[in-house]
Amino acid sequence: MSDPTTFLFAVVVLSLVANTGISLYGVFTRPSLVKKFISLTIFSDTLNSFAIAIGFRRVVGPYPSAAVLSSVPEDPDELLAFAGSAVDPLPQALVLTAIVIGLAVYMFLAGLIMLYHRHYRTTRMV
Amino acid sequence: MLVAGLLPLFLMGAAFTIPALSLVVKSPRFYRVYATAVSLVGLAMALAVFLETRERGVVAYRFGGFRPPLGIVYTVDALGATLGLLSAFVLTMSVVYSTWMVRSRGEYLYYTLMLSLGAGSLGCLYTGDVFNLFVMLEVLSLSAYALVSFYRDNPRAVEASIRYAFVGMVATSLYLLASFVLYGSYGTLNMADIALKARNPAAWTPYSGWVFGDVVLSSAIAIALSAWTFTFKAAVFPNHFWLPDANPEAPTPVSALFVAVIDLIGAYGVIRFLYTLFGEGSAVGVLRHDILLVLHVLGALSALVGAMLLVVQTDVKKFIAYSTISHMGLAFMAATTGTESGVSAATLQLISNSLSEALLFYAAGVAIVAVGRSVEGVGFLRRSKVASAAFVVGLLNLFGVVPVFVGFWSKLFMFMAFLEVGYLASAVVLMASTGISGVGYVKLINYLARSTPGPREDPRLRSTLVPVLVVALTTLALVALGIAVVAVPEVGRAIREVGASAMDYASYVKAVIGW
Repeated sequence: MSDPTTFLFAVVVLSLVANTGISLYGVFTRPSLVKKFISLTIFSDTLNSFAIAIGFRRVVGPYPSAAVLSSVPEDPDELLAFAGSAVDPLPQALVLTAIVIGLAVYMFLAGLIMLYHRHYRTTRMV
Repeated sequence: MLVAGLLPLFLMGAAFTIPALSLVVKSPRFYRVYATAVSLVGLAMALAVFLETRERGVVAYRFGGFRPPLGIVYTVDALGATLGLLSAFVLTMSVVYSTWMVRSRGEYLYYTLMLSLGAGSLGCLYTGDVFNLFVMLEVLSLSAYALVSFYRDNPRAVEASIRYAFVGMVATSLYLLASFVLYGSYGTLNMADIALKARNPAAWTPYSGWVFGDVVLSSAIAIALSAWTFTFKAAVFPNHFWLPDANPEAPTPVSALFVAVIDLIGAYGVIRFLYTLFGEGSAVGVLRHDILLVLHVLGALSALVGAMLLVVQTDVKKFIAYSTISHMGLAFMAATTGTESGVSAATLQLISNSLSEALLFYAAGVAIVAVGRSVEGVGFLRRSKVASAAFVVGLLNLFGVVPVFVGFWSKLFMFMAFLEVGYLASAVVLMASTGISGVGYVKLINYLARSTPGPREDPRLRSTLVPVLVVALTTLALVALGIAVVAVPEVGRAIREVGASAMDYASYVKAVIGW
């Protein structure tokens, strides 16, 4: 583990894995629906962060650059160099889609939890 | 082919026009006619797609005209087209049935959800993109959660929907993770491209195997994660627990849809992933056999557990839900034999199961309106010859001992598929679950012969023309198909070709990236 980038990347991935476990524990064992709900959002955020990590690219310099081209370069070599140093934008697009879908589901779930509270005067579900 | 790409979009567009229309048109009758017309057009389009695949094999539609693997492609083969036709048929029947059954304040919202449920289901079956499958899975699931809690004044419906939605959200998120892992291992999300790269390392790009290194291991992880989602969707043991909770609380026409539109996707996903994407000779190699075996055992457990639990049910909707679990388990067993005939038998079993569970819900729905959900209530059906005859047909088809019905042929084909690969124990499980569930079916037929306490006064019972029509059409489809499977060579060939299409990854790949 002499390479700091490898070390830090491993820390990120391992903490994401730990986070997945903790959030699933929250979803399945907490009796309070609100806590279940929070755990569920943590769970899907963890998966989304994982997707962003997949798009990470190891480059020679300190950081990979953002996948944004402000002008189309004339030289094809320049384009290749850009492709080699920018992060993969596709996982970010996927995460964007997943977040939008997640928003719809969470709004629906929050509404359901409110309905549940109206019926039972509690948010605990056994 | 344009229709394949257009169908889910058409249903979705039609669904979300409804809330806009509700600002102008207040009459619930308008939405009933509108939804019926839309679902009939959807059925016609699904039929057109089906006929097209019969003629030309695999058809593909590229959204935006991007060359695959860029962009989203809708790829429909015999498997997707057959199940899509089934899904569209049951959706249409349920929408027509709803025009009689559902009387509620926000009726237009009900039809919005129904149509988007159909859009999600057909999108899952037609898509040729791993990530688009996730999007469609979410469209499907969200509509399903909302439909389960449609009677929101009923606390039990809200509770069932919450349980279903929490676990469902975790399940679909795991599929999302699987699609990320697939992207990380192959550098593509196109199913045909993954199918090619999983078999032929020469097709790899610099982005294949680049994040995770070991393609075999990461593919296996992706399959394991998505298998969790698909067994959840298909309500296969041990992920079956949500179905007996959620299904009975949904409005009856939606309960009828669960098998044909929601559970179907689970079985379809397993076939698509383990045959087309990671079939024989793919990167997953020996692991594939083990995965199939595990799913096979889960299917067997599910068939037995469902059969045993259905016998003791006193709620007619729960009874049908457990029967679904048992029959989906059988379909899973057939789908995981790894052979062409197994997939064909599984498809026939899905068709038989979808139609007869839907038929039982449609027939029992009349009794539920009149008497309530207890199994004794089915005695009410004696007043209508068509409804009681259809109820018996549905039960006998599930029992599967009368050679006129498609249920008999599906069980026979599954039996032969098990013997073909030498799974004697599976054949025994098939017989045992048939025998055990037979006790329950006979019990229900027995209740049909008894009288029931006086029915409630309900304005809907004055005219039962619509439910009787739906029940008659579904029965007709069931019996006609049962006879056609053996009597009409064309139909028998169509069923066999479903299995062949699942194995034939080459034409799937060629239709998409063979430009």
